[in-house]
Amino acid sequence: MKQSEKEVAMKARKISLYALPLLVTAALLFSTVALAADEAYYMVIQGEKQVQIEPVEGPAGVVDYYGYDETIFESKLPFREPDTAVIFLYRNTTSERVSLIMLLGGAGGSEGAAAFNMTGIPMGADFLVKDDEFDMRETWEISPPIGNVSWGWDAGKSDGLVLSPLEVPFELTITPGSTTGIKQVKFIHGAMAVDQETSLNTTDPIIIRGMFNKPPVAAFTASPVTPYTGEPVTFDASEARDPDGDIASYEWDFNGDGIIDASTADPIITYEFPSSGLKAVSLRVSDYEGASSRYSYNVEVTAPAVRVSRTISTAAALPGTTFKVVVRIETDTELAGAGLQEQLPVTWDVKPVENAGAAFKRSETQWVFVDQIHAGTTRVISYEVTVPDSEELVAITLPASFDICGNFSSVTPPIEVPVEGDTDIEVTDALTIKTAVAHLVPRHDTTGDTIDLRLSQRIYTDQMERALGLWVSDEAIPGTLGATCDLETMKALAAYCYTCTPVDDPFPAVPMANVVALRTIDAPVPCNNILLDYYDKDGNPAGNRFIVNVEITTDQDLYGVGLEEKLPTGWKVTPIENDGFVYKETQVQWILAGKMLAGSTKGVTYEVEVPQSESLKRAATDPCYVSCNDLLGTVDAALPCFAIDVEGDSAVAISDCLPVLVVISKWNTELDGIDITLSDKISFRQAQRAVAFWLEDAIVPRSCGEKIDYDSVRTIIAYWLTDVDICKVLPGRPSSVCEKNPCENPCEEVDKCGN
Amino acid sequence: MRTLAKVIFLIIALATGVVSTTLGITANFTPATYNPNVGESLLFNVIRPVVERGSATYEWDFDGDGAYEISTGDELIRHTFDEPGHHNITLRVTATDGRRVTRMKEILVGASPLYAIRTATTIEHGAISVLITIVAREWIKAPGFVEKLPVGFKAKPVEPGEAMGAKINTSNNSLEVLFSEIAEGEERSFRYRLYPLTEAEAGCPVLNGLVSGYGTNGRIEAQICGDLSQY
Repeated sequence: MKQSEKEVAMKARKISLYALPLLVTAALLFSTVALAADEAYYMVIQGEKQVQIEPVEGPAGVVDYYGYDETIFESKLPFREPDTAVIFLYRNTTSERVSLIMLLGGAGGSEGAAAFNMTGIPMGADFLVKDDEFDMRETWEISPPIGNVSWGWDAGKSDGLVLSPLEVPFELTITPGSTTGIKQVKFIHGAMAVDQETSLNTTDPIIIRGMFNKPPVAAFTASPVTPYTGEPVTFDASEARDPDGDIASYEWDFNGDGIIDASTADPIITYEFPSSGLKAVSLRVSDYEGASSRYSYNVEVTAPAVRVSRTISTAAALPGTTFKVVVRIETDTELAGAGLQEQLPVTWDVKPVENAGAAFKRSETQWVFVDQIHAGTTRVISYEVTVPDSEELVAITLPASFDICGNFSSVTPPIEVPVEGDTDIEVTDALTIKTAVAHLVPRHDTTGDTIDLRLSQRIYTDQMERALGLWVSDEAIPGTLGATCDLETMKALAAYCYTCTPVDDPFPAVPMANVVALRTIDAPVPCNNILLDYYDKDGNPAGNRFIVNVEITTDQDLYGVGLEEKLPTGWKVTPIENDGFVYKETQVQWILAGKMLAGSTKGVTYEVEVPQSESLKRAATDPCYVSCNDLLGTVDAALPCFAIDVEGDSAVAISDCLPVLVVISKWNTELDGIDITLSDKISFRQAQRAVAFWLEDAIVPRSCGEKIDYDSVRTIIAYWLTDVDICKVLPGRPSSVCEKNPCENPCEEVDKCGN
Repeated sequence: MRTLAKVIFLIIALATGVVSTTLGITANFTPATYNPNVGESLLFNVIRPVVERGSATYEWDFDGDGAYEISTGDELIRHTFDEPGHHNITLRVTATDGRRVTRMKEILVGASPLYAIRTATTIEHGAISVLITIVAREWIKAPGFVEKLPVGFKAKPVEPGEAMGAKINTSNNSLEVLFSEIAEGEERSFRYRLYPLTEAEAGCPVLNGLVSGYGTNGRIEAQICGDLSQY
């Protein structure tokens, strides 16, 4: 009732501008003319759904348009759909007359029946088409403002009606009764070329409204235009207008998800965007007649140009120790009235170190900047925190985690951001090794190693060197309750140190490396043989030492490179060349104190002494005893993380006798005995001696009970004549003495002993 | 006789190419053995030089001190060595017209189960033919010799005999020759030639070598006796 009163009043106001002198006498008539000239608006409403619609238009009369074919008793309209009720308004553009068309069923559909009850039928309206009036299943009753219609149709067929004329204003309600064969209701609207439709349900009343009301126009402004996240933004829709009335509601969708976030009668609203990005803000304004319109605008929301981060100098602290906290404030915006508030566990003592121009209030752990913080500048506030000692912490079971959190805010612009970065601090009795080393103060002449948790989380070279020293000597790392480093830990420490990575951060991403580790064994006698029970001219054991070289190459930078060699128990290793590696005697491990550059090669050389006594006992029981031992080793790194086996020479044969060719190559003709320092070539004198052995048919001393046979002597003479190393293949011959490495099959050699 | 000797000399002189320097006079001798016993009276026989007229004077240095302790016209002479070991014996031949030539040979005093004799002869274009003869007084296993090759010469084996192998060892510039064995009282010989690398270098090379082998009492090693240079 109110609405119609307003409408009349509003229209009277519009008219008065043009026809004030005639108002008294001709007001009603004028108003009627004005109303007739006004454009009509149509809506379809079902439940909450409210859609503005346009009639389908055509120059033909509605009956012709419907095109009832009396031969097949159906409409010719293309909108017919199987199992569907299609409803639309049709306007004859010649007569401006508006009609309602309903179509039920269509080709391919099932048989069906439907009944509809109509109220609000305008006066003078009638069913101009009854599709099909003669069908005994159907009901056609009309007496405006009410009417009833029911249909029955066969499978694949359609029915329908034309109700006309519908004079604006009207509000026609169509209430579905029992319907079978109808699964959906579609309301078609818009120009015929434009396929627009609204889906309706088959149960609720469908209201079709025709009116002269104009829909409102939506518009709004946002301030600030480019807000920060969390900054209040004022949206002002005061500019939105209803041309022929007032706006009833403003519905806002601030993130473009189609869900109304706020609905008000007030055009002004404030909103804080929780996240940054381009936001599609949409406003729908509706008038009291239910007409509405929508306006969308993209608002770019940026994260505050203030970054506040905290660095805590350690991830863990011992009771009673002091660590350091640094808060960095970086801004791209001018800030006024800025402040930092930090929250620490109670009873923890805070001592400011650097206030960066802010006033500090100890009781609240607050800093207030008394000046402006200019765009593009950084302020650094730092303070030291002392953890209560163990008596004060007695109620807490260690280790225990604590938080330091805080926020930074400014008045202009109104920003409040949490302090990001480190928050956790663990109070513990024992630091982890990496934390301890990062805070290690290496000993001086007068003091032992100490821990200062105010130092950074980075490991510096002096700390790394001290850690290497502690590793080599198997000493405990201070502050860890007696923990000692293993190779794994040392490699990680080296990686942290040489990549400058704080120990609480993950390692930086590095490319995978191709690493090759190659071992070369330089044994005292050819074919990697160790000769026991051999003494040099001074009477010292000499055949039981050999030299090992491990050469490592990489195509990428490596950090924390370790080498571990596994040798039989009791074998003594003495490093000769460490090439920058630090050697740990107790474990036969090396770690590279530094970064290994891409494309570089490092070589570790060491001497191994095989214990003479123990092995001899075993050898004595079998004159041909040959013991084979493998050296196993790995090279690995912390960054990139990999582990590879050392390739190359690995087998070492231990014996107290030698292959006969080896004996001859080591024969000293002056002393008439072997001298393992001699070369691997056969000299004239050695060949001569071999010939004599052959003629004497005697067992060659130091051989494994062998004699020199015809083949052997010829081989020896061939090596003498050709100057070829006995470990190499003779020209034109398939194999050399080393092909018959005793390690390949020790028993083959042993068989010659005649046992 | 004289005429024949002249003819022979001329042939030799032409053949050896030393005609211009030592025309008409040579010095050569042979010991009855290159390995006499200590205290044994050893007979030396001068191979009579070809001289144009008159006789020659033979002077002997048996103790190797550079002084000629004996001067004689006899072509046969005896000498007894009381010290074992290697001795160098020099013969100086002086012709009536005053021209002189000398020749030195080495002998090994004291019976050795193994010894060797070198005979060096100059052939055409400054090349030298060297014959090494190894003599075994008992069963010698793996006899062989190593000749130090004179600088400026290239060696080439020509008659390997029964050698198991012969090798020019470039690392110490020597010739190494190895035989399998020599039975008691037998000999083995090996001939090689030395060619001067350039004609100009053909001088008077010093020859030096060791013979070795394994006998009843083990390794035996001795310097090679005979010529110490070419003639």
